[in-house]
Amino acid sequence: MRLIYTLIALTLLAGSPLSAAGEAQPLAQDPVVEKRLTSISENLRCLVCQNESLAGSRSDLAEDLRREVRFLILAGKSDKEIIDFLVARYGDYVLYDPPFKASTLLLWVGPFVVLTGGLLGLIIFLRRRSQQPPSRDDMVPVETAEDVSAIVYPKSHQSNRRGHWVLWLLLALIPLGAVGVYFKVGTPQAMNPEKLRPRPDPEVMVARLQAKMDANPNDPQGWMLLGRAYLVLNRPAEAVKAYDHILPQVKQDPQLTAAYAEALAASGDIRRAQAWIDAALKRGSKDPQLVFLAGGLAFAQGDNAKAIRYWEQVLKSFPLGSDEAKFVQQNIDEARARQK
Amino acid sequence: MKRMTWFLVPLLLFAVLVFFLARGLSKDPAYVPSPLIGKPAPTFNLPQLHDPKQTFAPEDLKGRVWLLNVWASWCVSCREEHPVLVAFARAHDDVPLIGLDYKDQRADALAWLKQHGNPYVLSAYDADGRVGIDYGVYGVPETYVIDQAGIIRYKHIGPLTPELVKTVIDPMLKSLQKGPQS
Repeated sequence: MRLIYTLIALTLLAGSPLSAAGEAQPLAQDPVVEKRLTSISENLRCLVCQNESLAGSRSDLAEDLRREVRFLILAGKSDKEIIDFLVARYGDYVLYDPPFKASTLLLWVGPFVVLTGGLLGLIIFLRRRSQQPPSRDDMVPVETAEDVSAIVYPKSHQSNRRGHWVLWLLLALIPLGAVGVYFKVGTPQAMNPEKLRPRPDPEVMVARLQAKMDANPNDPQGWMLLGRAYLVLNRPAEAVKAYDHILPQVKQDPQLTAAYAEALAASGDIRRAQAWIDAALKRGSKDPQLVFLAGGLAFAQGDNAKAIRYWEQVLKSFPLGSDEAKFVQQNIDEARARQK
Repeated sequence: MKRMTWFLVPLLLFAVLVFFLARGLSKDPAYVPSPLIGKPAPTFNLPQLHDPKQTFAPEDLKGRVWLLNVWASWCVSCREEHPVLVAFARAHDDVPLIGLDYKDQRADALAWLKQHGNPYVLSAYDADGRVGIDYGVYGVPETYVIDQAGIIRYKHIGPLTPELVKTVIDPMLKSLQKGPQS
């Protein structure tokens, strides 16, 4: 049971094994996935041709990034998780829709500061003009006026008072305008991640992909995706079946081998899992996931020393203090405790 | 006299505007600040270009300061950068220069290195560009300085120049090599 738990946790921790050599290929086209891909990538900037969105760009990199986003969609990630994945690599720069935070404050508030400044300048200018003695042409002939001062400065006192509240109104425009525009064109939900769109049901999407693959089995990338998805959904027997379609590719790619062996082990076929791992290790693979799995199998068979040896090898692959390293260390500690 | 000060306001605003526009002009619009600086270099495990049976992982160089240079045989600027890398490798025995051959054909890449000389200790072969995505690569060549603890300290996008090596990279390598946390 412990092994199964370990395997599932590892699945969640490890990166995706979708790393077969070759150019990016469109995955099995699923209208629902494509629709979400479009809605996500329209708000992302293509980094090569920066005035194009990721959805519209035909550059190689955009193609690759769309492939990654497709994969993440199928892996059941939420929009926010997918966008975070890209922001972690390329920064806020990929967002056409930058979040409201300290470093983007000038962006959202700046236009209103300028607008208010301009309006203030205009008002001051107009008020000063109206307070200046009118030029000769404007002047009402003195003969008709009883009180000259009343004509020359007709409303100066009043306009002064009105100027005050216009000023306050304008100053209020800065924050109100900025927040208003942010709510209109920005994504205020981004401030409250829990309220972002719920993720679609991965079970439904996997079922759809399965049907697609059954209809059109000549798509190795599709099978890889399906196998991975079944593993994440904790349906290892089906994962094994998916990988069975692409055994030659599985054999070539250590990460795929690890995923396949993981599926085999989790579905109870420890013997075959062991055989695949041994073969890959013999070929010289040092893939951390694979080595970790080798340790897991040794641990399940009670060979704590061997498990520790493998896991210590894995430990070297992760930065000290990272979640992965902590997780592996926990396993080592447990194996050590059992040794005693 | 008071009227004069009012004329100065638009002039001042104009000066501020000119300042920001001039700054904007002198900046490279293709420059994207990397969020990876100060973060651990993403881990990977790729076959080597010259020997697919061997792999390379950044952890292999833990405890050393090293450079990761993303290149490809199809990349024109890489050719421009190449002599700089060759000179760098010659001058820095103590700093491994690792290549990441990005979205390339193995045969083309090998031929390219044969023709122009190979400055790299080894090149990792990233055929489908997935490792490139993890490193936020969007324009080849790109160069990363990675410290003893595996932290990315610096990233340069575009070809390295002799000036950049002299004024930025060399001093940085020197200070990194003094101590892991400096």
